[in-house]
Amino acid sequence: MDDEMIVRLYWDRNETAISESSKKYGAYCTAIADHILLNRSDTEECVNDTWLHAWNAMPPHMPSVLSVFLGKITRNLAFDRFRKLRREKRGGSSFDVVLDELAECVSGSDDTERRWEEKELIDEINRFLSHLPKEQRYMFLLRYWYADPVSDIAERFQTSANNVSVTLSRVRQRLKRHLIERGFDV
Amino acid sequence: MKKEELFEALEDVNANDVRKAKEYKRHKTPVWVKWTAVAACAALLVGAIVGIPALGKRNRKQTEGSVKTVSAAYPAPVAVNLSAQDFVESDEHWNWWNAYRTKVKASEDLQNGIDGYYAAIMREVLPAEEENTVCSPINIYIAFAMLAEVSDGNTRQQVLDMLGAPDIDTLRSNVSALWEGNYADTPVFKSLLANSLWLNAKYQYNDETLARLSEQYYASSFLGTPGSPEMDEALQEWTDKHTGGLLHEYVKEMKLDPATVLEIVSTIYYKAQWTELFLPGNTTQEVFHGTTGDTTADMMHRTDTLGVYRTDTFTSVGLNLFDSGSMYFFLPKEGVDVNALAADPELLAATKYSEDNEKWSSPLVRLSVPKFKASSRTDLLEIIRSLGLTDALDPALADFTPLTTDRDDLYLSAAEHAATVEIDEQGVTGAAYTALAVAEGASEPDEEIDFVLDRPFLFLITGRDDSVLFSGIIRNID
Repeated sequence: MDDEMIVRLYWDRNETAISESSKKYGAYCTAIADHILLNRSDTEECVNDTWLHAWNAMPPHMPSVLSVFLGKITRNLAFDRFRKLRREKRGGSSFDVVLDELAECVSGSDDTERRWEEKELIDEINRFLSHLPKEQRYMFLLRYWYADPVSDIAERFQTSANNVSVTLSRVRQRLKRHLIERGFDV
Repeated sequence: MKKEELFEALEDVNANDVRKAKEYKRHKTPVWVKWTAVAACAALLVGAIVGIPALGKRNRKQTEGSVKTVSAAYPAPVAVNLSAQDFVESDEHWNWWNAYRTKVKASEDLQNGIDGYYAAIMREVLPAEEENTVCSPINIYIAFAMLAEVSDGNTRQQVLDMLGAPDIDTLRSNVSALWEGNYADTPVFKSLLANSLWLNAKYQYNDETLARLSEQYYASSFLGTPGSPEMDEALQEWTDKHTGGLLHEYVKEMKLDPATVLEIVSTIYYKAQWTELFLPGNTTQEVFHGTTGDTTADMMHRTDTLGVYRTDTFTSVGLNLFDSGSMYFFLPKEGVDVNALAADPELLAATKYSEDNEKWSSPLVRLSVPKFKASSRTDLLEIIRSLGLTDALDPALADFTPLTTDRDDLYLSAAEHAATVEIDEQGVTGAAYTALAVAEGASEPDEEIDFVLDRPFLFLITGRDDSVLFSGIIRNID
């Protein structure tokens, strides 16, 4: 079923919307949650919650890219759960590595007075990404949006994990420089 | 800002890019007509012979019967009915790849323990004056592991020491992991390992030892009369078959001494394609400054962002091989002798990327690599002696009781290794590749360097698990 149809089902309050979403994007969302949580039952719960949140979000939302709209909900839910679990006990997972890599782009301090809005920051990151070569942009998003393992990314690009790590490391350094030069004291 | 906040903020980046990233898959593998970019093979022959040469001669006239053969069962090839191109695009490739990756992982973990052996064998085998030298460290490792199985006491201990294994059980698990991580037989990538035992019908062998060699080392066995034409013919045929005929110039001279009690022959045959091909239209004729003078070489060219490792003595660049490991080229700094690189302590570090090491960088590399085919044959007896394997060479000290107790004067009488490596831009058929172009990742480089292999250089070919499959020094190109 195409995405437009699925969105219409949500708007029509037709519950088939959920089974169709699950059929088409279940695996997609599961992968995102799994890379963050690395735990089957937590992952399943996040994905099930995704459909519920989507149900509540549409209407009023009319997403243009349904996969990413749903993926974003999953990513959010999984990350919330990750933080809750970390507070409780666990840590040191491979997702922590993703976060530690991102730490290279930021100062790590609590910003008491932020001189910019999050929206401006996102616009700047988007501008940065749009100027990156396509493959570097995709590598960055696979790692920091989907939290994909480096080895998976290497396979997708038919290259070595070393190569992916080098590329990501350079992109992170460049992002940090880019943001600082434009007055974002991240 | 905290890293968690940045992760959250990133959720709002351009949704179209996020979608496309997940749909993207690099298709750099064009029509796979002739897919060989690197073809290599090696054979190692290790003979344990009775220590009385005269006896062998006297027995030469003995009955020369046929050769009894028990073939080992090798893993079946994958997707034999598919063309290389169809295979790469099929689910079978993904299924194979996922299974292979798991095996590679197991083998990766033991590579650090083997590094000392790799370094030692290259240091001993590669230096020379004028001729090119090639060897296959993994091939020598597996053959000597089999020698450890048929020996005991201090003889075995010295073999274990040379291979860097604390005990025979560790060695067994090493070999089985190496085998699993390096055995591949698909339409696009071949790394075929094989072993054989050549036995003398005159003797009684220990069944348990032979069974272990057959099961754990996939060794086929051949029983007959060493020195007979039938057995020599069988030996040459088997070795040719398992080295793809690439070493025929040496194989045709292989013969079993009539005094042979056991000969171990171990082989590797390897064929892989560059992940990013060289365009044949870019290949030019250029001067190669060899140790015996200048010659003309077919120089392949490519420009790409590549991982480069730089030390005071060399610069190295690695090129990925599809579904396999990499081939690394080491160019000595001006004034450094290429022979010195064979013993360079940082040789293997240049095959293992680490983010913390500032010797790594990713500049835009204008690469020039000569096409070459290099073969060499090495007598390993003196080499293993200098690596501490001495008892096996002495009939009075050698202990081969796990093999047979028929005689107590067995010793290692011959150890010969031959290897060949050939590289070219193959896989490329003219027009089919115009769409291929240079990877986009090459833009905005911080630095650009030339890497021109127009003078003697060293190379390493590694498996996916970082095993050193082949290494060599190219001093001259005919």
